[in-house]
Amino acid sequence: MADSVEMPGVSKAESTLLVLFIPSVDRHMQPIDQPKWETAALEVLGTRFGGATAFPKGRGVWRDEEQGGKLIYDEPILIHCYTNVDAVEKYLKEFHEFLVRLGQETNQGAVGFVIDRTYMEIRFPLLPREVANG
Amino acid sequence: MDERIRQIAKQLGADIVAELPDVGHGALGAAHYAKFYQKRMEQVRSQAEEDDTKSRQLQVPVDEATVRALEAIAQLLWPQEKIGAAQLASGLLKGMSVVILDQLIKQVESDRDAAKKTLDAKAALVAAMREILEHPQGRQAAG
Repeated sequence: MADSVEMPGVSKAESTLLVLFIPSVDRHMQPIDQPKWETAALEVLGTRFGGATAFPKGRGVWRDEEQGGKLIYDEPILIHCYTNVDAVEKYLKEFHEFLVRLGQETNQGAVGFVIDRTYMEIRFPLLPREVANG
Repeated sequence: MDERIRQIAKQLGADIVAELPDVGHGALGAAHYAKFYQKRMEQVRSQAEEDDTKSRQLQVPVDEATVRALEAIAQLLWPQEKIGAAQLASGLLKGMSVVILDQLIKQVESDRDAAKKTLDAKAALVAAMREILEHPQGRQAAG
């Protein structure tokens, strides 16, 4: 068998995959400043969890058969971050603050993310003005 | 699911929605996750629309001055739209309850952090006292 080598910044301890979704639209399907939030997410994950990789959105749309073939235009950017649960627990406050900022400032119904294949989301109810406006 | 992951979700105030299959890493895995996310967001959006229509009627006594104030606010903020006092009151209640709940949660977290610091300080003091009591000679010699 070939000898194993050590690579800088790569550790067997970083076995938890954290996936963050940066949406392209708000709750009313209006476009948001996606590149700005992509950069902000990379900064948070890079600073706190040692690094992250953004996967650019795929071009085009997809057809949702459960909604009568409705075309879905939301094209999220996915950010993969290999970290560990200790780091997630340690920087939970900063991570939470970022998720809330993303949800509130880009007017999302929910912000989704994955930790070790568990998909979870923080929900954001409508603000009074939006409710009043119907 | 790992209990620590469950605790992280709880502390983030997040709902656990699904356990995703192992779809591999890299671009292929990302594509699968993206498709799941897109579908999920569609559910969230349509669910929000349903929630807005499924509202309960609360009987809340309101004096005449408050009703007039609400109507004036609606007229000033959205002059082009017909927004009634009840509709505005409902929106304000919904928004403010979320803000107040968020502030209360932050307050509880802050109190918990402060209490933990106090306990940590007391524990450090007890440990130092125990060290002095158990090794008085060593402390004197060192001092």
